[in-house]
Amino acid sequence: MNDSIFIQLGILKQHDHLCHIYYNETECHEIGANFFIHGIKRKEKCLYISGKILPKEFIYRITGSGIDLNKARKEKDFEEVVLGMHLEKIKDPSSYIRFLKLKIEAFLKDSKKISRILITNEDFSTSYNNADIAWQKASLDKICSEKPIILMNQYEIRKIGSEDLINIFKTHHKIILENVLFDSPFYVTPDMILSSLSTESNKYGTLTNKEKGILRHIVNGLSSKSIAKELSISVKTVETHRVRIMCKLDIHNIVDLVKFAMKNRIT
Amino acid sequence: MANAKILIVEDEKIVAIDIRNMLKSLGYDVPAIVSSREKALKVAEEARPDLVLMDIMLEEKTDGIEIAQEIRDRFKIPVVYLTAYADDDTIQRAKKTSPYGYILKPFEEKELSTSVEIALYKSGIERKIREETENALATIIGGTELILEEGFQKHDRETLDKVKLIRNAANIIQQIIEKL
Repeated sequence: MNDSIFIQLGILKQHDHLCHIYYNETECHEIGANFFIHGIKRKEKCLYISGKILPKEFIYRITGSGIDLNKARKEKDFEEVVLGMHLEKIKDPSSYIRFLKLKIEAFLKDSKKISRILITNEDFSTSYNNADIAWQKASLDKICSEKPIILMNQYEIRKIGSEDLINIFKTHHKIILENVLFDSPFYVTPDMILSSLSTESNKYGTLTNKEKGILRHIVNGLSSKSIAKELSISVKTVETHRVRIMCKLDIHNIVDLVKFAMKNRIT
Repeated sequence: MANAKILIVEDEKIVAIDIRNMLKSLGYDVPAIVSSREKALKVAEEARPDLVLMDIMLEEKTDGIEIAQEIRDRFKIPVVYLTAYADDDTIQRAKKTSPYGYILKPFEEKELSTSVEIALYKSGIERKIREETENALATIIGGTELILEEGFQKHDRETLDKVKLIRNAANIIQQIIEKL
């Protein structure tokens, strides 16, 4: 690790939202531990959120710099949230964000201190689609902009897809890559991302229950005739519903309609 | 298919009326008799006939084959040609528009009714295949496209390769059905 990144980790300000893209575990632990070393030294509260417990290497690095981690834990200046057992419950992005928000709020409580939070990516997002991932990252960025925190996410480079990389650059102002910290050239405010994303789910919200039911039948491959039979309505009514669904969603062919439904898990 | 709507595109008024009477006595509905491209397309769009009887040589050198092609492409309405004209070149050109029949003038009522019935039956089956498979095929194509778009972020190469094969096969079926 070079000196400049070490110094930069020490002069972060509240609302800074960083993303560390790492190549290997050693690099992950080194940057993560130094992030906290500065925090504890600056009397900031530190929170570690991960799928697994704090790795030994991490602890060695922190204690090796002369910090008494047990004392920090006792004084609630250092806490750990292990997602392991909660992973089942937070499978979808919105409950994941809700969960994180609650944890962060509980950690901050009435403290006037700035807090440093490190979240290591444990692949809980692999079953999400791109819109979900963008939503999740932007929501996290929004939390960071509203609370007195410095937030750092760590992602392993080989687990990042190209779409994911775009989302990372859009939702973090600062990126650490190959031990260099730089400002993201593509940063977009979370509100802008969230409002552009919500249009798709909002559109789905405009469908009536009957239309949602018909959309479900279409995705299951039923023809208009079969749907009519199933719902005891005329084929013409089914067709009218279908035209209205496509109109509301602003989708103009059935393949795209099916993709929309699958993306939004209407099956 | 009684009550099927049949559009007649014919410039010889007497022949046209004769055909209309025959069709009506067979139980078909004739929404219009037209003799120009514009009117033929207008009726095809508005009345959505089940079948078009098309004279190949229309007045002022209007080409029935071209109109038939346009009606087929735009509205997917089947066409049966009706003509006194049957040189090889014409037949070859007509063939390319995949007509559902070719009736040589002059003809008997029996010939007309047989050709019309076969054409309606054939196009009915094709329409049924198109309509009944449309959503199921869209699900296969949409689903596979979605998986391929998600790419390596969610799936491994082996899965993606297999999905690509499914998508390509589904596209072949879609092309066949579209050509119907």
